[in-house]
Amino acid sequence: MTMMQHDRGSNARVVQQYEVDTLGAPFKVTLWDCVSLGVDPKTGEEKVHIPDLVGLIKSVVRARVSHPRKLNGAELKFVRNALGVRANLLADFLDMTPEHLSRCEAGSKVMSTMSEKVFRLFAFLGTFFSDPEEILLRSFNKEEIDKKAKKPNEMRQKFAEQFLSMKIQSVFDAEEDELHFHFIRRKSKSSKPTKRQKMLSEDDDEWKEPEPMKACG
Amino acid sequence: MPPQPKDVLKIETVWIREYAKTYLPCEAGFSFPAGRLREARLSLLGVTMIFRNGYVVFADKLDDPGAIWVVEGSDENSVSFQLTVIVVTETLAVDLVRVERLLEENGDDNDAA
Repeated sequence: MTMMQHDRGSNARVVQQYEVDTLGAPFKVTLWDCVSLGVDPKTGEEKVHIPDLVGLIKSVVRARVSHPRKLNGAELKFVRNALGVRANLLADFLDMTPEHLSRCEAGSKVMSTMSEKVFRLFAFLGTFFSDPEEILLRSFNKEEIDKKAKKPNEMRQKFAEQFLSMKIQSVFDAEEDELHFHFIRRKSKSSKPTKRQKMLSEDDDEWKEPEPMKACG
Repeated sequence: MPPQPKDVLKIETVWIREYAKTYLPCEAGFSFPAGRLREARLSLLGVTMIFRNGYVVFADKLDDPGAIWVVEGSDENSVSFQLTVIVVTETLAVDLVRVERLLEENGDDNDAA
C-alpha cells in the first residue's frame, strides 16, 4: 500500500489516555480513548492525532471556568487567548484598565471576585460562538444569540446550572491539588447525525468530562 | 501582531482561519509532531492562534490528495512562526509537518524546526 503524505500510517493506534502537555494550558488535561499515535513514514517522528482541536480547547475553557477554584494569572491569559479575545476589549468589558488586566494575567495583581465572575460568564458563553469577540463588540437580543450560538439550549441550561450557585474558591493548596481535567469524545445517543457527519464519521462533536473523573484537584 | 506578508493567498487564508474557529463534527482533525512543538516552544493553542490570525503565504498541490500550505503568524506570546501544513479540504484534515520560529527583531534566531 502506498502511504500518502497526510496518512497517519498503518501503525497508528488509539491510546487509552493521552496527557496533552502541548496544549498550552496551565493545568493538566488528559484525553481518553480518542487520541491516536503513529509514526510519520517520511521523518520517523511520532505523530499525534486529535479530533476537533477547536472543540477541545473550548471544552477545556468551559471546564476550567466552571470549576470554582480562583483563576490565576496564567489561567486568565489562557482562557482569553483560547477565546481569541483582545485584551483591550476584554478590559473594557470588565470595566478595568488594560494595564490592570495585564497585571492580573501576569500575576502581579489579583482580579476581584466580581470581575472574575463576569469574566467566567463571558468565557463560558463565548465558547458557544465561533467569534466570541463579537459578543463584546455589539449588543445581541435573545433571538440573535440563539441564531449565533452553536448549541443555544445546552448553552442556556449549563449557564444556569454552573453559575447561579457558584462560589469562587480562593483558599486551596496549589501544590497538593493540581488541577487535572479529563475528557472523552463520544457520540451522544440523543442526536441524529447529519448527512455530513454520516459521510465523515460516527463522531458528533462532543467532548465530555467523564462523570467519575470530573475536575480533580 | 506581525505585518501582513506581501504575498498572501486569500482563499487559503480564509479557509485556515475558518478551520481554526469552527467545531469540526468529524474525526478528521489535526495531526502534529508533538516533539517538534515542544522543541519550538509552541503550544496547540498557539497553533490555533496562528491559523486564526495568520496568513497563508505559499500553497502547492500534492500528487497525493491535498495541498501543502505555509502559514505565517504569531502565537499567544506574540512570537512569529512559520508553519507548514498538509491540508485536505474535502475531509477537513490538517497535518502539521514543520514548525519554524521566524527571526525576531532582536536577533534571537532560535530555529527549532
